[in-house]
Amino acid sequence: MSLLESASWLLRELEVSASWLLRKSEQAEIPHEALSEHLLVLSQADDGRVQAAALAALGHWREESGAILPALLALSPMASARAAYLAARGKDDEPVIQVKAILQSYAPQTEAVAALTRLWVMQQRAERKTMSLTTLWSVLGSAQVTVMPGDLLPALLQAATDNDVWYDYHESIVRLIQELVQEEEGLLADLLAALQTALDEGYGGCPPAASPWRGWPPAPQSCPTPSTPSARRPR
Amino acid sequence: MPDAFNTVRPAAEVTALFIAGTEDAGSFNSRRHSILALSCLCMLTPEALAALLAAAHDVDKVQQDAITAAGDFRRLHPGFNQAEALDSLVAAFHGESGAAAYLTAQVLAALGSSPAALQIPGLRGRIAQALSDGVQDAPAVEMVYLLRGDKIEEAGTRAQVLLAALSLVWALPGR
Repeated sequence: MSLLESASWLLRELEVSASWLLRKSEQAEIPHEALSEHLLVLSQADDGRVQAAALAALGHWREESGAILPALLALSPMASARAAYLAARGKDDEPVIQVKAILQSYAPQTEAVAALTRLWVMQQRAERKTMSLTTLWSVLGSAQVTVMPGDLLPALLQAATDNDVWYDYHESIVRLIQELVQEEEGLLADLLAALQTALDEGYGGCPPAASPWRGWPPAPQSCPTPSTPSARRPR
Repeated sequence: MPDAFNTVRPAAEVTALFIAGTEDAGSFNSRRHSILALSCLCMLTPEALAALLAAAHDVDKVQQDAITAAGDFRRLHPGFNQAEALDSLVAAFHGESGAAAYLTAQVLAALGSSPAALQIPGLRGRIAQALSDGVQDAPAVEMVYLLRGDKIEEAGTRAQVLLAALSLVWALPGR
């Protein structure tokens, strides 16, 4: 715990490994309760990177025991966004309603709009429907969330940013972004700028430009360990 | 699509951005979508060709998207010397990699069959000649294998692949 708190870049590794463990584990061989307790503590750490990594890992919980969701909802917009990730996969409607209400109170913050979009798109997906931009605007209006097109783009990008295998959910968000950019041509520049930023940041805070991984196929070396933990940024 | 990009950023910058995406070793999704985005510009540059050939050796999803993308490169970049471009493409389809040969054949078919090829005197003829020579030189029984999901599929012999590209260049029936 103390090591994780002092070396925040380690949290990135924890996030990735814990996330995958949680997604892959069919059997409860992981000490879920102990892990969730630690992660909930870390989700309130002073360091934003520690918070983000802990919240991302919590968002992948397979079996929500009823403790994580309320804890997340009591935190920040970012925590509520992870709660949305958790709730969107659940079968129970009640947590979704609860999460939506909290997120609406945080809107139009980007994290909140992104998380609401995730919930709505996932709901449509469950009904085998694809959400159009017109529908999204309509749902935003019904939820009394006022957001400008220029603010919706980063929210949509954030809604699609996760560590999951690419699937039709991501395709749905891509279609929404396509529609948005076609309607608001000025946003194409913002979209390209966002791509530039994403490529500059690289994967797991290992910027491609500074990485021996640059180029394909990658050189058989590992990502260089930064000289100081602060050299690494969260995704 | 290329025109839309031109209104917001110089073409070279957009190309460089997508090329950087094709080199993102941390994410195959980044590589596959970047190569598709690159193909929307329709312009074959030396860097785009290198990216396509690298994708031939990538994981199945990237390789498949690169094959889709290859058919959209319908113009040679003005800065890409015609002889140099053809030499690079011919070298690739004579190379060891069957997947790279397949991709190269798709690029040549797209370039050779596009209306833009007619604007460069003799280009279509030279592409056809290169493909024709390739058909004759290719080992008759050498099979091209491509990745499809978790399977490896036969795409025909190298000569058949080049012949199919040649038929597209001359707009021959049969495909």
